[in-house]
Amino acid sequence: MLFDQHAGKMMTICLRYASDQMEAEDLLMESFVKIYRYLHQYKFEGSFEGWMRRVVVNTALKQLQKKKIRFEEIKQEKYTESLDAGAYMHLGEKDILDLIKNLPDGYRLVFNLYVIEGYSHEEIAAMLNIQPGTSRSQLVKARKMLQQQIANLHKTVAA
Amino acid sequence: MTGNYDDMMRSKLNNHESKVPDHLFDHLRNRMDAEDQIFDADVAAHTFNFASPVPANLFDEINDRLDLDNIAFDSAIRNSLTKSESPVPAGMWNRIIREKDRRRPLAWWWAAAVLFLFIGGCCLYYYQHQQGKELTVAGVQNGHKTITKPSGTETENSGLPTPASNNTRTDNELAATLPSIPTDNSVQSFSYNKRGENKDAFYPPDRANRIAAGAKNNALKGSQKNDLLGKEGQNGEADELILHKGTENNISGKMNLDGSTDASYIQYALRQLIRSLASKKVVPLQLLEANRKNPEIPCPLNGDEPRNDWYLDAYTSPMVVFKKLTDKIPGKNVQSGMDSTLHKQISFNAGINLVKNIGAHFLVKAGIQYNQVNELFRHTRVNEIKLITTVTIRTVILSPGDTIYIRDTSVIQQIGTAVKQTQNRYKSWDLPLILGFEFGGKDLRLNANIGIIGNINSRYQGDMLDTTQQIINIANYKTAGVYKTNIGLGVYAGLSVVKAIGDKMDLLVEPHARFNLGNTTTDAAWFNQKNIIPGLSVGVRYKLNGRRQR
Repeated sequence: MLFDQHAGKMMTICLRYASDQMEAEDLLMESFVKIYRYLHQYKFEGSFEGWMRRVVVNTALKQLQKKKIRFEEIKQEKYTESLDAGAYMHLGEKDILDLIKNLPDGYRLVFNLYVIEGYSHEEIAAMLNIQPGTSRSQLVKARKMLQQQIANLHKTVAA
Repeated sequence: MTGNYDDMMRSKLNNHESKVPDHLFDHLRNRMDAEDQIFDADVAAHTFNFASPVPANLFDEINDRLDLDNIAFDSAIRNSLTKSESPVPAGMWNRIIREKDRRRPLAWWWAAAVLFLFIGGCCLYYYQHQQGKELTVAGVQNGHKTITKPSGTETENSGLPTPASNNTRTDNELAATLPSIPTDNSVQSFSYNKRGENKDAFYPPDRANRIAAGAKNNALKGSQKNDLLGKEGQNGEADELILHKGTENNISGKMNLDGSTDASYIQYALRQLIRSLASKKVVPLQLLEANRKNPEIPCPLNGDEPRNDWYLDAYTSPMVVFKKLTDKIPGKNVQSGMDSTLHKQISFNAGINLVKNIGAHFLVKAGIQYNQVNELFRHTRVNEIKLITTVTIRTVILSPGDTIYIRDTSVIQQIGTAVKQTQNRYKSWDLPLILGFEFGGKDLRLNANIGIIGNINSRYQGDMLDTTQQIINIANYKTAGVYKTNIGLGVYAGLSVVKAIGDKMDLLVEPHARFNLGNTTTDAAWFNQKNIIPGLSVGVRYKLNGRRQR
């Protein structure tokens, strides 16, 4: 069944974009309603899962845009250490999801779109109605914040 | 002599070359290099520590493009999450199906729109049909008895009734056939039949009947007894529109035949005729038609203008909702729980009504309206516990190639205050059917309205607290939701003030209240709720036609 086959993956996407579990569930519900409603619009071009992912992401974006996210710069401690690959290679999926969920809305959104979905900064800028520079800046900050969180975890372990 | 000397000196010195000191060129070059070096050093000293402004985010951009570590990091995150699956909450499929079905009432919108158009179309057709009938009556009149006045002999129209389609005439033609109204005292009479023939008598049929009856009974005898009336006129079936025009004496003379005093009617008919000629409408024929249906001769109204026939109301109204709550579970104080978390906001409705005036004072309104009730849900939870999971990874290298990764997960508990704020919206589409009683003058009228409002569809979104003080979604609560998707019938009452602001437009202000007859809550809800919704409608009333109600 379509739902059983794909719901888990789509739920992961929703969790990445939503700020809490309840919002993610609402997003998933909204997305599947749209998927069933617009199923006839699938043109059999590309994978069906890819089409579903786009529907979910677009639904999430629409929902988030209602919240009027501000893409603001958040002051961070200067982080210059390079992160050892071993520090994040062994993080579980849920750990990564939790870390992403802790990012500020703007960071999380751009990080998801760029790193996971593979959109370019220009595309992200068009989707979110921001400047490409803002997208780049948000991505760098998001990445740094994530790395910092992972490094802190690592330091805690070392201590 | 002097010239020869000069030439000799010039010729000797022109091509003379003196000896240049050795290394002069090297010396000069070294000296210039030294100066350049001093200059260069000077410039360098001034510019070395000068910092030019760098575009914002340049470093980030460079870092973003060149940092291979980031690429590896992104790749690791992407690979980790792309195929990742998260547990889907139980009952999600049912929620989706229910939500999908809940949105299906979009079809209701179409149905309502089609119904509305159908009703509107019927009304329009009825209106057009009525108008067409009047025109047809005007064009097809007669083909029966024709009454001629001064001949003194009975003139019978031998023509049989002919199909209307063969005799329908345009207003212009009709107007052209009608004679102008004289202003002198000469007696001029005319009549008008379907063939456009001028006749010299112009009476309404019952008037003619009464005249004829009077003539038969009193004045006219013998050969003159049928002067004014043919057979059908005697039976009260004359379709000929007959009107005497002339001096008042003549009119009075005719009217005295049956002993009645209908001068006011004649004057009214004359006025209507003048108006109809001006507007190329044959109003007297309409009056005739009305007379045929109604034996009473309509009297002209004194003072007030007759009311218009059809109106279209468009209005909007701010409103406030008062809830009447009763607990299903004894001991649960629903009211206090709601009061503390749900905060009233300005709500509104908007709609259009088609208004039909009936008789002198009554009217019926039907239309469609949209309602939106707004509330703010705000709930503060103290001692809210937030759990933060931290993952610790330790790497123990026992020997080269023998590494152990130890992964510890710890949970940090944070206790604080959490505020949940949601905009609750209750939207509904309704069909009002309202009966009104209207009184007042042309410029200012009062309407007392009462009626029913049937709900087409209601939708809700937002949060509230349940009996255990947990936040629940009102649309999804126990899959049925807290509120019904159709709240049934309500009673409506209002008192409106209508002020004319133009020839075709009135301003409408109506304080009103609506009360739901049934509960708005579902069986799944832990309380019953009925709404009392007062509001103040402000809108315009547009006259759809020029027809008048008497």
